[in-house]
Amino acid sequence: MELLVLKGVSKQFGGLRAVDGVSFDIKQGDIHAIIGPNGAGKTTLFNLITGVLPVTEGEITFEGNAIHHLRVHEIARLGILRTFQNLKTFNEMTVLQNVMAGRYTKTKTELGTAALGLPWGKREFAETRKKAEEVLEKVGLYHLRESLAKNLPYGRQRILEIARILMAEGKILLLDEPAAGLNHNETEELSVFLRKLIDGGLTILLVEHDMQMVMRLCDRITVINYGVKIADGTPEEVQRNKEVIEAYLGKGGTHDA
Amino acid sequence: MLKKLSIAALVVFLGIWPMFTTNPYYVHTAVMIGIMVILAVGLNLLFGYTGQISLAHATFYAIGAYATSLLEVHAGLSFWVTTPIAIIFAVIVAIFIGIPTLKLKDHYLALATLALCLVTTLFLLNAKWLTNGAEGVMGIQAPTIFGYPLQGVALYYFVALFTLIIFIMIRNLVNSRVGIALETIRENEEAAESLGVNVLYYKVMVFAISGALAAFAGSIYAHLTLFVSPESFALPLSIEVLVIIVVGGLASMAGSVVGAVVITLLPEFLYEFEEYRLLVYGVILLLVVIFAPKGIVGLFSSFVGFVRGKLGGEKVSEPEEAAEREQV
Repeated sequence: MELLVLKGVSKQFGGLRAVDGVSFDIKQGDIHAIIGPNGAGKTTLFNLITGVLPVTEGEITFEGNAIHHLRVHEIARLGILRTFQNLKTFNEMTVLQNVMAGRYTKTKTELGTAALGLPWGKREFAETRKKAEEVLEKVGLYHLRESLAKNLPYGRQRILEIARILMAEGKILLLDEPAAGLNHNETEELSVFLRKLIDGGLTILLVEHDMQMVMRLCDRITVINYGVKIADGTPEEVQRNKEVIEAYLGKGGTHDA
Repeated sequence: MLKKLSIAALVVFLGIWPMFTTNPYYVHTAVMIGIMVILAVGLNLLFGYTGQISLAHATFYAIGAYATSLLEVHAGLSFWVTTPIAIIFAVIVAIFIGIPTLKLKDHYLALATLALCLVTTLFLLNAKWLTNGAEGVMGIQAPTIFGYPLQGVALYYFVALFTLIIFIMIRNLVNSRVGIALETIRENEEAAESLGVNVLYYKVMVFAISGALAAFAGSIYAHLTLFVSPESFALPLSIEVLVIIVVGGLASMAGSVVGAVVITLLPEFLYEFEEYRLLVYGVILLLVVIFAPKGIVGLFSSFVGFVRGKLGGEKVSEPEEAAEREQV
């Protein structure tokens, strides 16, 4: 079943067509990667899906409903959560608070309830806290829960961003280069962890440069170059694709692969 | 336990100290501190927690003071009617001004709210038909409750009670789902939005809440002094509240209170420097930002942590150390 479908999506920045008529779909329960050389438009694609940028042309549907006209926070409420390539952790908040913040879409307490200190608001807050501690336990950050996020090492901050969106119990996670800055072991751990998430019913779309990880981990891969989709398929199919090899290695490099 | 006991002791002290003094000036100062706490709590919610700087706090303070005074003097309405009207008016103004300005960030927001503050002063001075210009509004009556006038110690108890209620409500707010959402807005708007937080909505709501609190404080001020004139609502007031929360501690409930007490009492000790008040604020602000960026409250808690560490008790800084160890 297709969870997220892009149909002829384009994005024009002045004279530059950063994304040009890209169509592909992401199936429920897949780990799907978008790969491509630097500047190919991968992050722009993420920004279009999550509503950070308006699409110039085309249509994005999620569970059959068009979402490309919705605002960022409305898209998050549908269960589409993302991490950022340049980390956007909440630096001056504790690790625990960072993760608790991820529960926003699943909780209800509003201004009035909160200010009056009504019992259901407090109960919900306590539940969020408990849930956050569980998630931190799962990702191995529990012992750092009282540290400020800015004091964590880079790799841990990446994990923290993923932990944060796990709290939302969304339907699809968009991970922008989750393995960037991680060492080999950490990348390995991350792959295992992402697999587990898929078994738990999630769908993942990721942008990644670590080809080893992408080829081993992903069910499907979409390759884009200069904003245009050049290939789409399983890792084996993509690896054999001539255009892909050219994009990565240049023309005439085909015999190497 | 110790914390609860000390809070109880503080409440008892605030309740009974006026019985041991006959000096009305002390009571007056205590009411001023209450007013400053209300202003500071509102601005700290907006700036300390939500990260939106405002130099327009004096505007909403003026709305509270002038709206209640004018409605009383000209329309003969009582404090109990005019104060809610002033608060609602402040909320409406905050929403109308907040929607365009809160899309701005950092210095731009500071400049826009600075402009609002300056325009307010010009309006109060020049719209003589309404505000009576520089001469100010006279003839404000002390509010009465069951026929008993709210002035002196009675006004003090009224203000103390409402300051406490406001403090508790805002404390509840910051320790809730909404409080976390507000802090995420301060930290990173894009990330906050990506987690489902409607950033502009919360910014405008918090601007309105802080405006409403400032208007309430303004109404109390008008009924403390029974006279209002433009100079009490000019830029120095906005800056004073900002200094209070920075000195006390940003994003700290206790910080608003500590800062309000310190900055309100400071001129009492430095009265010969009265003309240099803003200069003194500037120096204090500079020192705090450089040496104690978390304000007096932050300084105090790191001191407590240091003493505990020296005594070999519970290690409070353990998680930080763990993080540092991993970084190596």
